[in-house]
Parts: sequence; structure tokens; C-alpha cells
Amino acid sequence: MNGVMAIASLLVMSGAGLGIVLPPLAGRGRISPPEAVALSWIAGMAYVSLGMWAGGLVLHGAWLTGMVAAGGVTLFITGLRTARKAGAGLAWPRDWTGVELALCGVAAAEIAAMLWMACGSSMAWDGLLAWEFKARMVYFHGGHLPADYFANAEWHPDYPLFLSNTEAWLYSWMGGPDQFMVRILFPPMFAAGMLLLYTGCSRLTGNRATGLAGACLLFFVPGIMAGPGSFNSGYADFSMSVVYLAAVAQLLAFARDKGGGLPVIFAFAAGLLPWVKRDGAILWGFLMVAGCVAAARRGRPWRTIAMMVAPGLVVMGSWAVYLAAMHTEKNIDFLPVSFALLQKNIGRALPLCMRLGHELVNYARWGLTWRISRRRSAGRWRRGCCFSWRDR
Amino acid sequence: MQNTKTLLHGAVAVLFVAAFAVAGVRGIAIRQKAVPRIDGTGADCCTDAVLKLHFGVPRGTRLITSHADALPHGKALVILYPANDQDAYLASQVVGSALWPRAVLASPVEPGALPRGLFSIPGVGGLIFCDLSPPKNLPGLETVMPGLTLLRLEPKP
Repeated sequence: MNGVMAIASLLVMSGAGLGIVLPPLAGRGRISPPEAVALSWIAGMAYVSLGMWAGGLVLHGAWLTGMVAAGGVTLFITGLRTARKAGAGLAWPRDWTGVELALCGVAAAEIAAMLWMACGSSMAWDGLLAWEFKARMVYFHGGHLPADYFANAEWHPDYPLFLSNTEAWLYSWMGGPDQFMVRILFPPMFAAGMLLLYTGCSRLTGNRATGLAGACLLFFVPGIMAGPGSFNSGYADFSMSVVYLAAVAQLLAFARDKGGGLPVIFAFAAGLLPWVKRDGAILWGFLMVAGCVAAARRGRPWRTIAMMVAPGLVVMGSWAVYLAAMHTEKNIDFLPVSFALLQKNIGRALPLCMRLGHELVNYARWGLTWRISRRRSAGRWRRGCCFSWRDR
Repeated sequence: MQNTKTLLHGAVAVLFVAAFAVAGVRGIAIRQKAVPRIDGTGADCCTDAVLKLHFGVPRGTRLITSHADALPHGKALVILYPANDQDAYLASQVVGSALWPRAVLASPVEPGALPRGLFSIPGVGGLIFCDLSPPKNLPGLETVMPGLTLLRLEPKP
């Protein structure tokens, strides 16, 4: 029964996500089904986690779950109608070559292997302590966190609730915590990462086989596939990387596009980053700088820039206000950022750079990923096309 | 000439993918040992797997909660773990989360130098020694599992 309820909850969640991403995708004329599927998973998790948090301020228990579910179904219907009105068609890939079909077979085999690995491995330390534990708290308190949670710095009360609230959403459908079933959330996120790599690489290179090869290589990054921090360990890091990938792919599409469309999905995905993990705020900052440069290259940038920046500011601002209202204990892991602190610790810069260098060639964690990325980036610098989106 | 160039490009691409795959598979094999295999299904199966990886005992959550249930309710517990031991710190956190919603505090201590005041903190019903040897011959000591000992500070109700 738990399995049926879990699948039903995921259907409602991804349906809501589809309803969110369909209208902006339809605005482009043709909808890429792999991209729509991947983005709808991310948008669904965003909707459910934000809905549980905002709705939890006024509703509790079954009322809260019901309200979020009803909102999700409404979003799905509205999104579908809007896309139909826009007259956008589905751009199914056609005319497959032998190499592309072979790569599709490899991707299917990798997904099967990924599911097998996901079935057998447990969530790891942080997956349990930093995220799943909060999902239990949310579930047992009818959809919101108890007041004493914010007074305990050991529980990291300032961490955002993207993953925890989505897990709590599953628990509320299943009628109780279930660490076995909750892992059902992680394989689709991996598949979303593969689909986004496929669509992003295909669009950038104009070559479908390159996109498929890029998606297939994801499976061979050890840090993503196994161990603490991997896609199935319950950490928020992998989710954050997939959301970041979605934002970057949308930004590149926006930068290359000659049309006047607004980068709605880019703004949405980038704005979601601080909600997935605190570190996401740094990634958001970098993306906003790149987004502003891309917008400045086109006419009338201010409206575009304001639209890009708004979602992230709303998410970070409302979360900060909420934490302040709950009198949250100060974070004990990080010192506050200041110039004096930077000066005091400047001596650590060299050892940190050396540590980073060692990390990049850590085969057990990254395989050949960073070694190849480094060489590729060096080649682009030499050719002077590092900041160009038009080069191949 | 064009065909030879295409073939060469293809061969380089295949070699690149093969090298990437081999390095990846080797790394995956190494990293898989760092995360426990799941053991059974249910509400606490992942916590059980992590506890088994650390303490070597299956169904750890049930063992811990059943021992803690014998302590007076409404009293907090204090988990003591060796200072500067990251694994023990994480294990103490998992033990504490398994006992939630019971109030559990955690504190690092220098092995072999337990402060006497620990045994008489007001409002504390028991001490849990995580990867620490408790003082011998104390009344109320219970071994929950190897590496985890519970000390009852008040008699059973």
C-alpha cells in the first residue's frame, strides 16, 4: 500500500511540475519532451516543498496535504490548457542513426544499473541527519517544524527545506515515515540529470549523438554514483547540481536565442538553488552575473534582469524573514563572512588551493571528469572563446 | 582521406569513452564500500544500516529505543563520545536521532577523563557512552551493543 501511495504522491508532484513548466516551454513554439520531463520533476519538488512550507503556516495535517495536492492538480490542468492554447507541438526526435540508437541502449542499460544500485544502498550520514530527520519532524508536527527545532543549532535549522519537505510530502501520503520507500525520490532526479545533459549538450553542439554520449558519461562519475554525496545517499548536493545544470542549460539557450523571449525557466531554476541548499545562494550569484551579461547583449535588458533576479531574492528574503521570526539559533558550522576574517585566514589560501588540486585528480571520487574538464577549459582559454556562447 | 579522418575521430572518441568508463567503474567499486547496504525494509532501515556499519549490529534502532524506554520518561539523555573522533560524533548524532522525540544532548569528552559532575546533572535520566568505555563497576550499566553502553542514573519506575 505504501508503494501505491508513494507513486500517487509522485504523480501529483510531477503533474504540478509539468503544469508549471509547460507554459514557458510552449512559448518557444516546440516542446522537447525529455526537457519537459526533467524540468517537471524539479518544478514538482519545488512546488511541493514550497507549498508545504508556506501552507504549513496556516494549515496542518491532512488539510495541508490536501491543499497542496489540490493546488498541484489545478496547476497541471491550467498548464496543459495554456500549452494547448499556445498551439505548441512536441518536438520528438526523429531519424535516429545507428550510433544514436546504440547510445540510447547504453543509456537504458545505465538507468537499469542505476535502479539496481539504488535499491541496495542506504542513505548515508547527512542524508539521515540533515534532511530525512527533518522530514520526520515535519510529518509528526502536521506539516511544520516545531518551535524547539529552531533553538537547536546542532540540527542546522537554517538549512532550507527543499528535500526535507518533499520527503515529508511522501510520508504524509504513506501515513508514516519509511526510509525504504522515501529513496524513490532519488533515481528520478538522476534520470532528470541525464535528460538535461542530453538536451543541453545536443542544443549546444547541434549533435544528438554528443548529447547522448554526455548523458551516458554521467553514470561513470563515481562521486555521483556511490558513496556519501551520491545521488542515492539522501544528500541535497546532487539535487542542487541537477537544478544548477537546468539553470545553466536554460541560460545558454537564452544567450544563443535571437528571439525576444524572457528566460523564465532560467530565473525559476536559478532562484530555486538557495532553497535546495544554503550553498545554492553562491551559485545563484554567479548565475545572475552571467545572466546579466547575457541580457545586456540584447536590447532592453532591465526588464529581463529584474525578472531573472526576482525569484531568487523572493526565496532568500522570505526564508530569512521566516528564520528571524522563529528566533533561529545562529549557524555553528561557518563563521560570518568579513574582511577581517579573510585577512586573518589568508595563510590558508595556499593549502586550500593544494587541497583543491588534489581533489581534482581524485580518481576514486571523480574518475576522469575534472581532468578532462580542465584540459577542455584550458583549450578554450587558449582559443580565446571562453566567454563566447556561439562557438562550437 | 575524409573517411580516414572520420574513422580516426571515431576511434579517439571510443577510446575516450572507454577510459572514462574504466576509471569511473573502478572509482564506483571503491566508493560503494563507504555506504552501507540496506538491510530489510521499513521505517528505520537506513538508520539501521548506518548503525550496523558503525557498531556491527543489525536492527540497531529498535535495540536503542527499547533500552531507552526503560529509562524514566520526561528525563533527558546525554550521549558522550570521544573528542576529535568524527566517526564517533556522527554515530552519536544518529543514535540521538533514533531516540527523537526524546530530549537528547551530546557532548565530546576526553577518553579516560570523565568529569564527576556528569553523573549528577539535574533532569538527566541516563548517559549513553558511544565508542567510549564507561567507568567499571557502576550500578545501572547496560550494554546496548558493542560500542554503545547505557548508564541509568535513576532507578526503574
